[in-house]
Amino acid sequence: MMKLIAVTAALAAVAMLGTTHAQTSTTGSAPNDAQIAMIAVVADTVDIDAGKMAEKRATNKEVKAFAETMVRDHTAVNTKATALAKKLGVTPEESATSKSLKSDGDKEMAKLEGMSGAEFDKAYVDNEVSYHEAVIGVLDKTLIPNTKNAELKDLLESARPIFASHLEHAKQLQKSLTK
Amino acid sequence: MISSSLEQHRQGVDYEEGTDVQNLHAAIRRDERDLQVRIKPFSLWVMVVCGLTIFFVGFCSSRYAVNFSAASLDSTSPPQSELNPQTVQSNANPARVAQSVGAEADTPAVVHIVMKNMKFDPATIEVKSGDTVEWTNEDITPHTATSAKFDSASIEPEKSWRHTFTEPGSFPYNCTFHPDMKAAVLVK
Ligand SMILES: [Cu+2]
Repeated sequence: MMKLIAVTAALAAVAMLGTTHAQTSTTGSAPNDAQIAMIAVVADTVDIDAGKMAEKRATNKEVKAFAETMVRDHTAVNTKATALAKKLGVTPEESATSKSLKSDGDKEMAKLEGMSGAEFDKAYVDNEVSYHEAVIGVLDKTLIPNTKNAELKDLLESARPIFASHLEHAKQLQKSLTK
Repeated sequence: MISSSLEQHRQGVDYEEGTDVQNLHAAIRRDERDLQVRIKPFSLWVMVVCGLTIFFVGFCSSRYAVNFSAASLDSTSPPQSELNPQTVQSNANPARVAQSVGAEADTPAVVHIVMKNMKFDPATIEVKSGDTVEWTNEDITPHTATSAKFDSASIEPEKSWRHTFTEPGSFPYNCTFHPDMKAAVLVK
């Protein structure tokens, strides 16, 4: 009897939470969790690729250190995201957002490819500022509010302060480079 | 003769006893019926009380969890008597509690700092000379605790690093990976 009561009460509580959650997360063509996972992975990969190029090519010591942090942190987030997708049995799925992130990243890499010295440092840092601003915008407006799985949502929410920290870091560098 | 009358008597007694027993059974059955009637609303009460208890336990534990995490960020919780004018602005209450415990026992304390959401928490702490500070990385990216006097090098997620402070002074430090992560240890 006690068990029955406990189970009933627990189910009622879950049902209540479920309905409030459902109300906040239903919009027209919102990405699903598989697409969200892909967007997160592509967003990280684009920044890792740019960071790897900057690690080699940057001349400013602080820009180089920043690039190393980008590679280190985005790799950490990607490792987590990939492991979580595997654990949840989710195969990341391409979407318009993930495709445009990738093609914009490729364009930026092609642009940086033709630069060197201080010009490269400045272009890389400028792009990192706008890139992190854009990614934080996508996280806040699209990814976090639409994520259904609690663990994936958790991961995106813990990635947010990382991106915010990178943005501040890039802005500081931007200021010091224009001095 | 005697035996037969005794027999009769006994039978009579038996008979009378028999009716009494039947009456008693009837009475018990009545009582049982009443009891059953009384049990039904009682079981409802059990359900209500259990439901409320479960709800309250859940509610309180979630509240406690919120309070607990809020407490580590909140600077208003330490007792006023422990507030030192120099550190009023710091949010170092767990450390200050550890410090006061250490001071009372007069033994070196281990003071804990977490690296979480790209911040050192608490950002400023006060310890005694001889105390050990332990940094634990609760983020998913590596961090460092680095100053002119100490350097943890990379602390991986879920890992910790310790440093014992043996001389008084103010030790500002930061994370070399994330220059925005700044904090300080004040050694008395
Ligand atoms: Cu850090």
